[in-house]
Amino acid sequence: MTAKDYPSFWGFGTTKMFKIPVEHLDFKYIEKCSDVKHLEKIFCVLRSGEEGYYPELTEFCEKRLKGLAPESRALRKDKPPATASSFTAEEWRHIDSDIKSWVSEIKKEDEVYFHETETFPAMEDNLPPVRGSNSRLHVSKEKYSNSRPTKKKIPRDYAEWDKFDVEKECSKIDEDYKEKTVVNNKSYLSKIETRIGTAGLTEKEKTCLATREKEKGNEAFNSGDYEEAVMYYTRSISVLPTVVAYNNRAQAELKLQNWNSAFWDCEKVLELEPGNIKALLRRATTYKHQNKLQEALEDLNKVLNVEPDNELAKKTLLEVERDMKNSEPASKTQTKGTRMVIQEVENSEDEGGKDSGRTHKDGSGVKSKSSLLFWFFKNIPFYMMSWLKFSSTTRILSLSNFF
Amino acid sequence: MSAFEKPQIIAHIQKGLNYTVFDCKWVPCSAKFVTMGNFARGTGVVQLYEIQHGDLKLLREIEKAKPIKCGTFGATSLQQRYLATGDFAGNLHIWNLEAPEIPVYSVKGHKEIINTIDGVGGLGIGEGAPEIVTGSRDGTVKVWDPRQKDDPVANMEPVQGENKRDCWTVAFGNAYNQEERVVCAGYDNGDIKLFDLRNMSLRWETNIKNGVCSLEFDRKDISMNKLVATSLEGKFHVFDMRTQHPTKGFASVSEKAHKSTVWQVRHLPQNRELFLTAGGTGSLHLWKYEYPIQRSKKDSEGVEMGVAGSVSLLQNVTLSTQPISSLDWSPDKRGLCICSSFDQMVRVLIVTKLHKI
Repeated sequence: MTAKDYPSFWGFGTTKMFKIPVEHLDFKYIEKCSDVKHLEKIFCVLRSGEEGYYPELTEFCEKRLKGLAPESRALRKDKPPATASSFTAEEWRHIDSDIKSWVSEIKKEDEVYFHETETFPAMEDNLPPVRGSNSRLHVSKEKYSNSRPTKKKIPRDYAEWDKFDVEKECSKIDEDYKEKTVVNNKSYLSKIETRIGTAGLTEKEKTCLATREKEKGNEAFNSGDYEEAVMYYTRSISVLPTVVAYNNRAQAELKLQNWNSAFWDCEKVLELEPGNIKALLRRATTYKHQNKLQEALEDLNKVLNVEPDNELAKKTLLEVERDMKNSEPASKTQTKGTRMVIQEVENSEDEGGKDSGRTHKDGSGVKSKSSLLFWFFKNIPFYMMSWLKFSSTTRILSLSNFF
Repeated sequence: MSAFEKPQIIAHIQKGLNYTVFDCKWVPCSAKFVTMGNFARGTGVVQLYEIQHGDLKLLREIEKAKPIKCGTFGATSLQQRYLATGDFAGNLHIWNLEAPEIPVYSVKGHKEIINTIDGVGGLGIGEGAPEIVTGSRDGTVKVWDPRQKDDPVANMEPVQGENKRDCWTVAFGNAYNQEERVVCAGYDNGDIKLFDLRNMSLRWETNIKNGVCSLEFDRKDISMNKLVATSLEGKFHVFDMRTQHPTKGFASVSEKAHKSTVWQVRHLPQNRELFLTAGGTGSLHLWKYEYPIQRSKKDSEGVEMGVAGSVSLLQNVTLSTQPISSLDWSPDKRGLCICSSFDQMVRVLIVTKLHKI
């Protein structure tokens, strides 16, 4: 039953706003109604209080609307700004002290930095020249004239249809789909300077500049522009090499599958900060993709020694082990076999190390019989393990009878 | 996002002023900000405040002959921190706030009020020369270099005989290397024009049907990524500037909010996907932009065109009954911002939980 079915006698039986029949302002009707627009109107009427004040009905309507359309504009409420009462005592103290400490910190920096330098160094020499003087640009108000669209390729009459080649058209369409739709304007990447001139900048300015470039890199990473991200991280490093920038660049290179570059970035991090967990994990990934599985294992174990609950390390470890089994290495293996679905979670980071939640499944949930047995036999001395690996599946199965 | 994880907007400090305030800007690398406006007696005023002990302390008051409409620190170096202002008589001045008697640079730029000003190339943002752009009621948009006296380095004006439209807002963008730069201008009839300063040409124009109150690129110093344009009648548009189609231009998504003019948009300097809009009913809305799966696709003729994402409301508050005319995020502290409104109040706000988004 829609609103139209009810006769409206000049406002009799309908609301003032939106002309909704009064019968619709009812629990049963709202429960059954699934027309979002109509519900929004009902909600507006209820909230405005024109037809009376029904708090439970209004709340019920709100819940129903939230269930159907959480992003609905009708749900937006005017609210006053938050005050101390909107937070727990702990949170409020935290916010308050945070702002107070920042204010005092920045005031100190202000006094120290700006009052010392009374005479400002002539920065003008480093600046590019003034743009070509006094160029005028006349702008007309006409819109661009729309060019006539080109003749459609679809045949229009019977004769043309006879000439139409289905196979050719199908393959053309297939080719179009195969082409990746890459963001077009990558030409700007080549125009960005990879090194920033840092002549005449103080330490503080260099840190600021490096942080800005790194943040730009983080933003590009978060929106999927990995090449751009690498560019900005490179710029940040050229101003001031930091562990975070190298680490982030390694991550971006991993996304671009440049294993070698990622490897060297991880090496740099570990040079500056040996034992950096993220760098070890990323280096392990580069090893894995370059088929240096033993080194990958060592790195992963180093990580697990420090952080035994590191999910990413455990998952990558399983993958490496599986790879090792598939190839034929003679190296030792240590396994912490746990049954888990393998999922590669790539984190993007800023200094706070937040996750961006971009995950993609590495669809390998296959458990081979040998991996099952590895889990079972994890305490067996490793000479037995290596022997087991070389055997065929049937022999492993027969062995199981002895244990 | 549950209610507990949503960012909260707190009105930290509120101060009533005795003049109409048009614009407010943070002084970079400090806990100070400037407010600009005009006294009832018709003279212009710039006041410098500092946050101290949870309240505002007036450090300096500068009175000038003509009311001041807008200002920016965008084209100054971090050491100098000079303020560039545009006033009601069309003058552009650059002031040293420590010695404000004589301006560092001064030019009668326009015949009528300078409505809007923006700067780039200073503060370590944007490669290349520091430049200031002003837009005025006389319909022209002029770009100035503080090293060149009297003449602008670029002038965008309507053709002779055409109606001049008020330019209400300007924004710099695309300043990712020394040569590239664009200026985007919004007019009172809804025109948005994108001027490329490197080849001195009009790169794109469109009309959003309602007067454009405010324009901002999400970041000035990267290759153009997003542009937000706010307008009358409670709408704003977010354009994806990465892919330009030869006829369709840039893809956009629009949103209705505030139920009245959206006066300002400001992106968070620490995260370009978050922005705050200020409305004519005294409300502030905090938005987050989400990218689509594919940012570009091919149209029926195989030409690349952009795909706009989506905008979601994170939080909204109502601060006053009068329009909030200007907003500014602090470049040094994430979540700290100031806003000024036509009820002669300036407010310092703290937005919590922004680092978690």
